[in-house]
Parts: sequence; structure tokens; C-alpha cells
Amino acid sequence: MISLFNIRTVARFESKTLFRSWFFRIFAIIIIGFILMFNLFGLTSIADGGWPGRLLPSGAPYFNMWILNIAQAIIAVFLSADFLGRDKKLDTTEAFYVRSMANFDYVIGKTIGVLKVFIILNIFVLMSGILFTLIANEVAVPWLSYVIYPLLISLPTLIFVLGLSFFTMTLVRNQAVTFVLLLGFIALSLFYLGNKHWGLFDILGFYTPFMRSDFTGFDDLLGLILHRSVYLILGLMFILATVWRLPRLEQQKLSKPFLISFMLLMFSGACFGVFKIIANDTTKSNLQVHIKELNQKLVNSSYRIDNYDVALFHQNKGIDCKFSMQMSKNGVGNDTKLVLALNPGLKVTSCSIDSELVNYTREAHLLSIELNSNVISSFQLDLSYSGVIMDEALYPDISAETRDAENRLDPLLAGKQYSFVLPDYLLLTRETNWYPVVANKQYWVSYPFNEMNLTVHTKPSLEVISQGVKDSLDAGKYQFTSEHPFNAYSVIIGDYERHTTMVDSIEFSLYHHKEHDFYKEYFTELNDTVSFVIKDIKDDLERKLGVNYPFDRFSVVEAPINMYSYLRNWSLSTESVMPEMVLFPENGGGTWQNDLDNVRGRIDRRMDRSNEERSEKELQVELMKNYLGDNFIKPSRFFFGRRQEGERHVENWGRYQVFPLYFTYANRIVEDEYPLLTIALENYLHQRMNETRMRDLGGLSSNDEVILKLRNNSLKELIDKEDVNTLGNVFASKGSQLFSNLKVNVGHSSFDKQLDELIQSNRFANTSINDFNRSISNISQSEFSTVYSNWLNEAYSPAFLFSSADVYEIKEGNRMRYFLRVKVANSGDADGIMAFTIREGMQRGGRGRFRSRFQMDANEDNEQSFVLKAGQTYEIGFLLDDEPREVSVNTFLAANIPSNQTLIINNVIRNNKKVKYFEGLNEITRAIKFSSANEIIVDNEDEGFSFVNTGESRTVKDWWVSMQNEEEEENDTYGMIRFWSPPVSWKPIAGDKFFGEYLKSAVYKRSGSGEGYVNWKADLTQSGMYEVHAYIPNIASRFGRGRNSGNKDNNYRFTVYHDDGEEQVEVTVNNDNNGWIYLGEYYFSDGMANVKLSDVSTSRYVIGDAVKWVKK
Amino acid sequence: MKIKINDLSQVYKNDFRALNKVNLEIDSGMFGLLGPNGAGKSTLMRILVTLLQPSHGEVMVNDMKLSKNRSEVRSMLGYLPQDFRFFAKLRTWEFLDYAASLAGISKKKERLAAVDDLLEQVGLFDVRNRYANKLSGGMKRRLGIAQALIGDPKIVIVDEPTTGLDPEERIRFRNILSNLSQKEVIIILSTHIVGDISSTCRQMALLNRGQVHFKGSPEQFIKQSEGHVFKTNVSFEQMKVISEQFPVITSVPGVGGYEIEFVANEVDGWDTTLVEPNLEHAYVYFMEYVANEKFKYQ
Repeated sequence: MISLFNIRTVARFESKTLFRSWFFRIFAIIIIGFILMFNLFGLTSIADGGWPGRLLPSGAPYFNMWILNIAQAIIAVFLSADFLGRDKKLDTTEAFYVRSMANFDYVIGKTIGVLKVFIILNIFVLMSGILFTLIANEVAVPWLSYVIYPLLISLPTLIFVLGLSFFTMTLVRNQAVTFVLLLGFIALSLFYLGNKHWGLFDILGFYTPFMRSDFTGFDDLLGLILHRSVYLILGLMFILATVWRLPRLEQQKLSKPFLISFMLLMFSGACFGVFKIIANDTTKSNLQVHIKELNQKLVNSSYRIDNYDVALFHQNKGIDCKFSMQMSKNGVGNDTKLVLALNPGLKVTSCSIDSELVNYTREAHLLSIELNSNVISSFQLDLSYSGVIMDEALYPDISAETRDAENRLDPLLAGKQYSFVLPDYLLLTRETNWYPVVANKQYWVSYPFNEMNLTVHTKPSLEVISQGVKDSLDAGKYQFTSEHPFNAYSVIIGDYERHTTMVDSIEFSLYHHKEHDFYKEYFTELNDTVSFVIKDIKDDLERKLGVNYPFDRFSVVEAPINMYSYLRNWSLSTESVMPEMVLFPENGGGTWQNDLDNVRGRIDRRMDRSNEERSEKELQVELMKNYLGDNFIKPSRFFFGRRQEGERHVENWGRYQVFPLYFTYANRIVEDEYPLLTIALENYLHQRMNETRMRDLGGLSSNDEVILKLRNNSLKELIDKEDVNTLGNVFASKGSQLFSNLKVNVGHSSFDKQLDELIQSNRFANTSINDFNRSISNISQSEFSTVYSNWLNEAYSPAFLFSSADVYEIKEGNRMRYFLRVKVANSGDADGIMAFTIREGMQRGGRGRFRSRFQMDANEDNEQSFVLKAGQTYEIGFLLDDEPREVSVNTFLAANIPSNQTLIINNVIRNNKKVKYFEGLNEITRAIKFSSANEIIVDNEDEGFSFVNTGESRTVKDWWVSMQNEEEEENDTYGMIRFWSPPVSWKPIAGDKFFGEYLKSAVYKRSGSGEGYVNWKADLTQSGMYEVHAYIPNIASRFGRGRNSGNKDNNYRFTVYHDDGEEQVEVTVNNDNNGWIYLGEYYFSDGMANVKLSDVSTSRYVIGDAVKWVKK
Repeated sequence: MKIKINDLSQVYKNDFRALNKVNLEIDSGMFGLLGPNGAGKSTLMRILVTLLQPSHGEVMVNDMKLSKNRSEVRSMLGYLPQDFRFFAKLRTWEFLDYAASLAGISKKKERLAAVDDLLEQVGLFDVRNRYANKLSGGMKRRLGIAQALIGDPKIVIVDEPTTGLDPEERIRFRNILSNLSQKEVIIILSTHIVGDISSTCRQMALLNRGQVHFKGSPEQFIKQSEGHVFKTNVSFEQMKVISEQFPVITSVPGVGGYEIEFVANEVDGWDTTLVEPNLEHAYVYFMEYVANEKFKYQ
């Protein structure tokens, strides 16, 4: 008989002893201490910089549970393996074993005892989360989450870990081995298995998205419950198995068969769960494969949709739609079928053409409608359907790997939902295919502009947001009429709070969750100023972009935190930006720059440091500018976001920037193939917003990587050869190159002005490629289609050699001015352009890690570009008002790496009255040579260069460093230079401070014992005396941090092998002594000469770059 | 109360036969199980307290089969294991409270009263709040007997309870047990210390190498050795010789030699006087002559 009293008794005393065990106490104190500290500083942000995730919906309980769960799983292993071990060790246990109770009572009692202890721990942690959230008083306490999270995260893990460790202990009967096995298993699941294998090994819920939106709750609650109950059930099964294996004689007759059958039942339950999870996933991927196959077979239809007339009914169980579409014939084809794309979750209930029912078939996302034999040039298609959106059918072009990647919001995990259809919330974007579109070939890369008149029926209490003019027809009935045809339509329905202001006759709205109003206290003084701030930002952006905002409305709509969108290579827009609106994550998505408290703190501190007096209102304006700028205009991220393979640098540019509203959702060039021209134009416009930023740390910019990729490849070849999904950066760089090339013919500003006009006049229209070609040819005064075809098909590239910059002080009238001259040669096989940016005068403004890049007072740099013909050498002259401080050049897609470099500025030559100054380009005949006739240079990219590594890692630290390097540099040929942890072996680095003909690079490694070295070998054709020089770049001055490292002496040990033996030369390098360093004069016979650089140095790292022999 | 042990055998995995066809009947009162180390006493005890399943044979408790009615038997049991030193981190009274709860005293008030009562009885009331692990060896033993006695068990089984106790503790311990034997309970006391049995038990059995060699009252047991216990005076040289011939029980050094007592079937050539045997003599006699002889001819 199962006796509750016995169970309670055993549980009572078990928890009592556990509470008294020092092991538990210490662990509990550590974890509680950690969580308390975190909650104190992170949630209330009393000190500098709270945890921005506190603003996430349910962020506090989720994080608390997430951390606790890892810790408690480990404690549970120790405690529960301890219980049976202890039983064995304690001879007093036998006195209890002879008492009348079932084994079941005993084991369950023990389990409950352990659980009780953990439940108290959980309650304590959650209470602290609630307490500190209340103290912080920023976000509402998500009470329900505090109930659900422990049940969903903590409990299943605990039961599973307890059960598993009990059971393992009964099998292994050795506490130490049990610990090792179980902790090993947990570590394996945490660090290796992760979310692989359908996340089935994610015991701790570390890789499972538990983010709970205040709008829509969990992403796939049923899936989560299924996933977690597998653990729960398995845990219970293991506990029963422990009852079965308990080394104590059972006192019931039937218990064993009963136990085993119960265990079997649970096991099959768990298996069913696992099966279900796998089956769901398989169905999903099968659907994806199916859709992909179908998409490949699509052909262009000869029909198009002219407009939509829609009634959308938002029901509890899904949506009902009644569509009426005006169709017309496009071309001359004789289609027997009309193929539309519509989300497969939406079931068509009726379909008629000109009020006559017609037959249709559905296959995955395709709806094929039979057309009568007497094909007509236009007709009306009526379509009714209902259902929910099937998210699994979306984004078939995105690789499974990218789709399965976590949506981690440092460190918590959000889900990846693409649409929401719930009784109180609805979010549909274009990608969901909630409305039918003609399934042309590659229809998803470029959607046509169509008009839509939409009527939405929903609950009267809910707010409806969509494109167009909104009219309220009745309670819960709204009509949206579009002023223009749009190429995307979205519908959002939810319980929103709305704020609106008019700026430049554009309606700006903010829709947010009613409880998400923490932002208000930061903008208390701004009531009537908001519109001015917005206008400022808008004007500034449009000045840079050159085009104005195409829509009449702009809304920022708070969207559920679990909403996710992917960036594709054919566009800079994601589903997070829809015409007229940005779907912004709840409370800003828990990022650093969206933590208003944090940003405001920084602003205040900066003000304190600079002793400025600024009013509260001014500060609030700055805060708002930062907020809007960092999110919507020029996003930046301060956290260590890593680049995602197959996606463009989403993390770096942000999916909420409004740029797509200016182009992608307003313009369309109808291209048959991959929309390369659209991509090029979009990227050209987009890079107008970017200032050229120097990459101080060396390494390759994405442009440089593109140069490497394009070496010997035309764009066309690359597209054929490689997965287009990996070519985002190539498209971006090549795209801006195309238009940059065009504009040099007609002049920068004239070209841009006309291009902008062209873009604006073609808005909301499906511009044919021929029309566009004609217009562009006119603007650029060139045959655009030829330029385009060369751009696409030719692999040639320019290659530039340039001199240092000479600066002369000149007198122009009675004004003192400066003349700057640079010699440049294009030794490549194609014409190229080169842009110069010259900064004059003293440097202004501070630099700071956290300084927002979006400063309204950013001084605009003046960039000048020049076309340089292949095989020619030029002089380029600039007249300046101030002494130049920095000259940087951008060589775009020329062979030069890095493509952005600063030139060396020679000392200003004063009182030279003879210099002939000029502005612009001068062709000259004297070629620039990389090396003079009497010298032989061996660079690290040359054949004569080699290096030897120490080979092995001597210490654990070495090993660790090399492991990390490998991880980081798997894909990058030229890494970033790391001063704080230089690599153990020679690694290539690139940057403009290094020596090189086109590719400025070097190798470097951490200073060592001398076993590692680099070697330069030159084949000298003449015997004789040679001067030997080694190039040692001076990078310390640029990267050194703090005052002391400003000018540090670094010594380098060279060995020169010459005819009379070998000579050790030790040279000291610092700010004043670097570049080509003289190593001495030696006699060399013809043949191989050799110079070696040892890795022994007083510096932390040694750089090997180039050596030259100069014949005397 | 009656316990009947029929043909009980226990063979361990390594083929060691710990018990070999043991037959015993135990009535109410104190029952002593005597035997040398390794005789199988603990195995028998562990079978009786349902910690061990016998390989063969059956134990009947009040005509109930032990193997089929563990629940009922366990509810009548109080058990003090041979080793009783390591406790979970519980206070003395909590430990008893735990035992009392499992013994089925479900009402808290009743249980606490019983706990206090027993703590008084075994003289641990003053240390009731001390952690059980911190008690002295004797106190632990007393706590052990207290937990065995809590909940009024009908069968109390104590395995080697007096090992390692000082004489005073041992006497106190015996007294607690003999107080209990006034009631209608079976107390089974296993020991290799003869004195424990002589002073308290009405019935006893002698176990050797897994077999019962004697069952009956201590008096009967002593009687077996009547006429076989001798006393003599020997010189130092003779002592060596005689101790090789016979088991010497006591040797008191005197002038020019020892006064010794020894057991023997017959004595030739020594000037001896017969001694009235006690339980210890009987035990040695039995072990040396009866038990081993029996084995020889088996």
C-alpha cells in the first residue's frame, strides 16, 4: 500500500538533512548570491549599466530560471547521487529499512524531499526577481511567467536529473563514477549537443526558446510542453526504475510487475513525445523541400493581378478572407492555368472567375486555377479561404542551418515566429502569403506593386494597423484604402496604445503594448518637441540619401518578441519593415542601445565630464535622437554580435532601419533573372548613409573580402559557382561600384541628382528594365547596358600604386593655403576609380566606445573620386585651406587590400615658391615603380618568404590561445591583429600600415623563444655590396592603449647571412624609428641571400613584413 | 508471539553457506543467539528483519509467512543493526521522531510523547537536541535501542548490541532489555559475548558455521558441560604443556605458577578438582568438544 504519511515523513526528514548539508548550503549560497547580485545590479540598475534584458517581456523570471536551472542541475546530481550513496554508507539506514513502508514510499519520499529543497530555492530566486522588478519599477511584473517558468524550465529538468542520477546510482553503485557520468552528460548536452538532434538533448532548456511575449505568449507553447514533458516523464520513469532497483526487499506482492508496466507506459509516452517532435520537424522540412522543388519549376505567368479587394475576418480560430481580384493579361502566352502562391495553411473554400465557379488544385503553397479555353484578356477572380498561417512554409530559400540557428537575445532565447494568428493578436506580413500573388518565376525576390482595398473585421477592443488610409466603418470594422499601389501588405491587430504626431504632413505613429510605457519617463519634457526631433532626423537622413520619404504615414509598431525575420541577399529589407511601418521588438528587444536608462546615464556622464550645462529637455532630445538613430537610421550594436553565415551583417546594420522604405518598398525594376540591378541600386543608395570608417585594427573589411573573392572571377561566374546566399557582401560592394563608375562621367552631383529624380519619379510603379536602362544611359551619358554587362561578366580589376602625399605651403593672393599632391598609377587591367577623403585642421570631438555613432553634428567628409585609366600614371592635386591631417583613399574593388587606407603625409614643405600647384587630375609619363632597379624586395606575400612555427603549445595558455584563434579565424585569411593575446603561431594580417604592393599584409605572432622565425630569401643576380633593410611597420602608436604604451621601444632580432658569415642585428623600433630599417651593408655573391627574423623580442609580438637588398 | 524458523538456508553468491538448514522456535521473552564471529548470526538476524531474502526455507511469524507478509511483520519489528554509528544529519530527538513516524505513530502529539518517554528511558533526554552523530558510542547504542523500541514493537531484534561498550553501559543496556522482556514481546539478542545471555535470556540457541548446535535454556546448556570443567595449579613449565592440550579459560598467576581453569572431556595425569560450570565454561566446552566433534563426523 502506498502511504502518504510515509512519503511525507521520508520527505520531511530528507529535506531536513539536505538543508543541513554543507554541500547544499554552500552551493545554494553561491547561486543565490549570484542571482541576488545580478538582480540587484541588473534589474534595478542602481549602478552603471543595468542588464538591458530586464526590459524584455518576462526577461527577469526567464533569466533567473535560466541561470538557476544550470546551477541546480549540478547540485541535484550531487545531492541525489548522494542519497543512495549515503543510504549505503549510513548503517543506521537499515533501522529504517525494516520499518513497514513500501519501497515506492521511500524513493518517492526521498525525491519529494529533494524537490522540496529545490522548490524553496526556486521560490526564493523568483521572489528576488519579483522584488527587484518592483523596486526598479520600469516594467510590469509578469506574474503568470513566475508561475509558468518554474514549471516549464525548472521542474522537468529537476525531475529528469534527479531520476537519472538516482537510477544511475542504483546501477553504478559508486558515487564518484555516478558524478562523473552525470556531470559529463550534462556538460555534453550543454556544450556539444546543444540544440542538435531536434533539441532532444537540451536537458537544461539552454537552447530552447522560452521567451514569453506580452502580446502572444510563448513561441509554440504546445511544442515546449511536449519537449519538456518528455524530460518530465523520463525523469518519473527513472524514479520508478529506482524504486524497482532499490536494494531493499519489497513488501507488496504485485509491486514489481506493476512498476515495470508503469515504467513501460511512461517510456512509451516519452518515446511518443520524441517521435512527435521528430515527426513534426520532418513534416516541416519535407514541406520546405517540396516548396523549393515547386518553386524551381515555376514559369512566368501571362496574367497579373491589377488590384485586390479584400474582406478579412479575424476569428478566434484563424482568419477568413474574401478576395476579389482584377486580373489582366500580361503577355501573349496561352496559359491554361493560373498559378497563385498562398500560404498552405489557408484552405480555399471557393474560387470563381467572373462569378462562375472554377476548378482549382492545391499543392503546398501553390493554388492552380483552371482557366477556360476561351482565354480572355481580363477577368475578376473571387477567392475565399480560411485558416491559419503555416509558418513552416515560409522562407524556403533560407538554409536549414540558418533557420535552426537560435535567436539569442544575449543570453536568453527568443523564438522564431514569422506570423501570429491568435484570438487577440494578429500579425501578417507579405512573406506569410496571406494574400495571393501570381507565382511567377522567383516571385519572392521581387513583388509587383498592386492596389489593395482592405476591410478588416475584428473585436471592437483591438487596434488594427495596415497600409493606406484607415476608416472606421463600424465597431471592429475598418477599411484601408491605399493611395498608391504597394508591393507588400501587412495586417497587425492587437491591444495597442497609440501616439501620433504630424511631421511634414506625414503621420508618425507609435503603437505599443499598454504596459510597455517605461519609455515615457525619459521623455517627459518632449511633448511638443517630438515632432521637431523627428523632423531633424528625417531631414538629415533624406539629405544624405537624396530621396524623400515616399509614404504618407510612418508607424513604429511593437511586435511580439518572438517575431523573427531573415535578411535576404536580394534586398536590404526584412519582414520587420513593411511599407509605412517598422515592426519593432517589444521594449526594444533588450539590447544595450535600447536600454534608455543606460543610454541616458552615458549622456549624463559625458555631460559631467565635459562640464557642459544642458537643460533636461536638451538631454532628452539627445536621448531620443540616439534612440531613433541607433534603431531606425544607422543601427549599431555594442554587444559582441557575431556575423551569421549566409546572412549579410544583420547584426551590424539592424533589421529595423527605415532605409528599405525609401527604396525597396517604393521602387521596382522588373528583372527576369536575379534582380542584380535592383540590388546594385539599393546598395548604391544605402552606402550614401555610411561614412567611410577606417578599420583601425587591421584585418579585412567586408569589401576586402569581396576583393579576394572577386580575384579572377566575374560576378556572373561567382553567382554560378557559389550559393547566392553567401554573396551578400559581393552584391553590396559590386553594386555601389557600378553606380560609382557611372557617375564619374557626368560628375558626382549631377549624376546623383538625376538618379534621385529618376528614383522618385518611378515610385510605386513596376519599371521595365528597358525603361530603366534608357533613363540611366541618359543620365550617365553612356551605354548603360554595356557597362552593366561588363560589370557583370568581366573579371578585370584595376590595381593602384600610390606615392606618399607631398604637401606644400603656398600663397594664393594673400591667403596661406596648402597644396597636396599624390602620384597614382593604375597598373591593373581595367579602369578604376579612387576616392580621396582629406581631413584638414586639428581633430575635434571625442572618441568613446559607447559613443553613439548617430550624432547629428557629424561633420561630413568631403570625398572626391577620380577615374584612373588602366596603364596610366597620374598626379592628383588638392588645394586646401588648412594643413591636412589625414588623407585616406578608397580604392573600392581594385586589387588593393585594404581598400581603405591612409596615405603617409610628408613634412610640409614651406617657402617653396617654384611649385606648380593645380587641382584635379594630371596625366604624367613617369611611371611609379614599386621598387627601383637596384633593389630587390621580398615581401611576405612573395615566394622567397617563409616562416617556421614553434610548432607546439607549451602551456595550457598557449593551447587555449591557439584554440581560440582557430575558432575565430577559420574563415578569415587575414585576421584582426590582437595585441592582448597575439597568436602562438605566425598569422597573416592586413592593413595599410604594412608593406605590400597591392596587398598590404604581414605575419605576426607572439614573441617566443627563438624557435619560431620568418625567413626572407632573395635570388641576387649580381655579386657585390648590398644594403639590407627590413620593413617594420609601426602599429604600436596607433593601437597602444594608455599613455605608457604610446611610444614603447620594441626590439627585433634579425640575422643577415652574407658571404663572410652571419651577422646578428638587433634593432629598436618605436614611433620615431620604423618603416624601412637599415640592417647594415654586406657583401653577397650572386645566388640566394637570406635574412631571418627571430621571434625573440621584448615586445609582446613580432611582425614579419618585408626585406630589401639595395645594390650599392 | 511465536517465531518459527523452518529449514532456513542462506547461500551467498560466492557459494559461502552462511546458514544451513536452521530450525528454531522462538517464543515470547528474551532469546539469546550465541555463536562465534562468522557463525551466521547476523545473516539470520537480517533474514528475520526482512533485510535479506533467504535462499531456502521459511520463517513463520505468528503463523504468517515472513516472505509473503513483510508489511505486517515489519510493522511489528524493532531492529538495532550490528553497526550503528553513522547518522544522517539529524538531532537525537528528530532521529527518534523519524523512527516513530515510520513505526506508524501518525499523531504528532502522541509521537513526541513517545519520543520523550523513550529518551528518558534510555537516559538521552538531556542530549535530545544534540546531533546524533555527535553522541558518544554508548549513547549511540542507547539511541539505537530507543529507535528499536519505539512504537511498541512485538519483535525486537538486536544484533551484537554490547560490542565495544564499557561495563557500565553494558549493564545499563541489559537492564533496558530485561525490563522489556516482562511484556509479551520477543526479543532476539545476538551476541558472541556470553555474559549478555547468562544474565537475561530464558531461551537460547548456539549457532556455529551456519548450523544450530544447541537450543534450549541457558541452564540446560550449562548442564552439558558438567564434569568437564577442571581447576588445577600448574608451574610455568606445565602451563605451556597444558595449554597446548586443553583450552584454558582462566589463569591466575600465583607463587611459582598459575591457578588455572580449563575444560576437557577427560583429564589424565593432572591433579585437578571439578568446578561448577558457568555459561562461559559451557560455551567453550561446547565449541571445543561438542561442536567440532559433530563436524568431524559429518
